[in-house]
Order: sequence, then structure tokens, then C-alpha cells
Amino acid sequence: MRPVVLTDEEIVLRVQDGDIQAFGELVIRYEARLVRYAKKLLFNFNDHEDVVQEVFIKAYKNIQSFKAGSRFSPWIYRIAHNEFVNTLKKRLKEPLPFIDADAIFPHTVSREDPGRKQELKELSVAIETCLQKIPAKYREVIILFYLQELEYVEIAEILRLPVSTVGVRLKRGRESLKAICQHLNQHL
Amino acid sequence: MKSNFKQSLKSKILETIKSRKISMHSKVYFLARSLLLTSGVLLVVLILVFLLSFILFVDRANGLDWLWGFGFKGVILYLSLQPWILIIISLVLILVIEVAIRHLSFAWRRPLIYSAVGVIILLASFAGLVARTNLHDVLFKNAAENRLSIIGGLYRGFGLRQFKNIYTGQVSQTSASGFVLIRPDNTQIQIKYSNQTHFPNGPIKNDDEVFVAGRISGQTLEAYGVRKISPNEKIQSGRGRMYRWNLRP
Repeated sequence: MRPVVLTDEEIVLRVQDGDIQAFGELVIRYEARLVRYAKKLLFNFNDHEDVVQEVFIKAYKNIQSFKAGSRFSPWIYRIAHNEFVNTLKKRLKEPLPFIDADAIFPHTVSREDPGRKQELKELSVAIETCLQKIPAKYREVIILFYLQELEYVEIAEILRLPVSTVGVRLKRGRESLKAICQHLNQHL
Repeated sequence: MKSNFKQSLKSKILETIKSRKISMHSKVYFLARSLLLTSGVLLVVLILVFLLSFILFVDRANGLDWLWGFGFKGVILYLSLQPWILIIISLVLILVIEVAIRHLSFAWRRPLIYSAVGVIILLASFAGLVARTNLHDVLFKNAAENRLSIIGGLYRGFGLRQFKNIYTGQVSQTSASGFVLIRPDNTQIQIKYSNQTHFPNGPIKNDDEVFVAGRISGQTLEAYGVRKISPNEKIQSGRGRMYRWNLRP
């Protein structure tokens, strides 16, 4: 008989009922993704795992705020986003505006991006070499879309931005990446 | 190796949770936090509705809204005489509300301009409705008679403002170039017309009660505009005019 594989949300219910060990299963499921996310966003720190550990501790503390019927993935990514952004603010003093101009006005950027794999192929060198040089707000969207392979809607939920703003950031991030790479005389 | 690493992080986290005796916040904690946030936002909304309606009241009580009929100079004077400190406080509070509601999905799913405009329209509508009631008139009257302790100063300070560019009184000794204004305290000011003086509700004659705004130099005021005050306007409930006439020298 095959073992029953519980969904993330079912595991959360167990954790909410006091099963600490069940929380370990969530750590296993998300640890690799979050460490990868942290490594790319917080590129110049060596303590990614400590930061990710803090993400899980915060997730545990706040797990009772997780609402039945919602998805766990965007919820934990949201906690990770907050933790990483706070880390950037504290250590790098990287400018992360309180109000983002991209989110003020409506945009008509396409909500879907069908050519992700093709684009990723084209951008892979740029992402590897120049990602660190673009602003954090663009860097993060590129990481979530190309490396974490999340959809626009999921990214919007994590960053709490309109979907069209995610599209704008992705477009500007790509342009920024290409421009920086060209400047460094690298071929895409 | 990879699974060992995973195992170790899992163990590390579970160990940290147990050893640091980290406990999860209860559902009551999150409920209380939501309630506190909602109460805070509601309180700020109430303060804002009060402040914005008070600003509208102050405009009317001091006759500032009449300056719109005095041409471009009147509008500039209107803007310069606004209670800017109250307007700045209101803008800061609107920002606080905007930040608070951006946490709600209906707000962050849309561009910020939509929720900001929505908040401003809603607040302005409520403030407009409150300003149409006689709430501020009653409070103002109590404040003027020193029967309102906490916010009395606000009403006395902003409701009974003295402006060096604005006067009210009775018309006397009219001529083609102006008239003499007899103020409620029986002092006199020479009012001089220019070719840019506006008369939004018709020409002036002796004994009219008027509202005048312009540039003062000594005892002469070069008028941007002269507006007759009808008896209806003087005693109109909720317009605050009667208080100005009764209380201001």
C-alpha cells in the first residue's frame, strides 16, 4: 500500500493542532527553494541558511494565522520575502522605496508570459553574471519567475502587488539585465 | 549528502523551536491584532472625517469660500489662508489609512492610485455630509462661550481667525472709486476699487453689509472683490456667518 502524501495545507492543519514534527516535513519541502531564493537575492551574504532558518521560525510562530482554504506556498514565500527584504534593508541599506512608483498607476503589460523557458535560455548567462547588479525589486521578480518558476499571480500574492506591476518589473528587470550585460561586453 | 543536509536543517529548526521554547501565537492573538488594527483604522477615519469637515466649516465660518468669486487673486488668497497645519495633518492620516489598507487584498491587487482615490472620495463624502449638519456650529458656539474644554481651542483658534486681508461691515459714503467700510467695532476702512475688483452678486450701495477682500495698505484696502451679505446668509444655520458677526469685533 502506497503511503498517503499529505498536501502542504493538510500538514499545516496538523501543525496548528500542535504536531511539531509535522512542521519538519514543511521544512524539508521548502528549504531548498527558500535557500536558493535567499542565495540569489542576498547574494553577498554567507548566512543564507540562518536567514532561511529565521523564516521557518517565523512561519512556525505565525502558523495559526494561516487561513484554511488558502495556499501554503505563497504564504511562506511572503514570510521569506519580508525577512529577506528586512535583511537587505538592515545590512546593505539598499534603497527599497516605501511606495513603489510601479504600483501607483495601472499598466497594460501582458499578464501572461508564454515563453519563459526560451527566455530563461536566453537570459541564463545574464542571470548568472549580472543579476547581482540590478536593483533588488527587479532582481526579486526575476528570481521568483525564472528560477522559482512561479506564476505572475503567485508572485503578485507574495509581493502584494498588482499582477500588472509584476509584469512591469519583470520587463524592466530583463531590460536592465540585458543592458548591464551588454555594458560588460558579454553576449547573451 | 543532500538529504543529510536537509535532515540537519529540519533537526536544527525543530531543535531551535523546542530549546528556545518558541511557541506559536494563538488564534486569539491574531484575532486581537486584527481587531486592534481595525479599531485603529476606524479611529483614524473618524478623526479624519472630523478634521476634513472642520476644515470645510472653517472656510465657511470665516467666509473664505466667498473668495472663489473674487477672481484669480481671490483664489490665491483663499489658498494662502487655508488652515494648512490641519490639511497637512489630514494628509498624513490619509497616508496612514492607505498604508493600513494596502495589507488588504482588495487594495494591493489594484494600483495604488485606485485605493488612494477611493479613500479620498469616501472621506471627502463623509466629511461633506458631516459639514452639512450643524455639529460644528454647535461645538463652535460652545467653544466661543468657553463651554468646550478639550477641543474648544481648535474652534476658537480656527473659527475666529482674524485676517488682515478680509473685512466685513456696513457700506457708507459710496463713490465711483470705492466706499467707506464701517466695521462691527465702528472702525472705518477706505475701500478702493480697481478695474480688477469683482462684484460676484451685483453692485454695492450704502448700508449694504459686505464681505471685502484685498490688499491692505494703512487704512486703505484695494479690493479684489466685494460681496454683499444678504440677511439670509447672515443667519443661515450651519453657515457659521452669524457667529462671525456676533463675536468678531
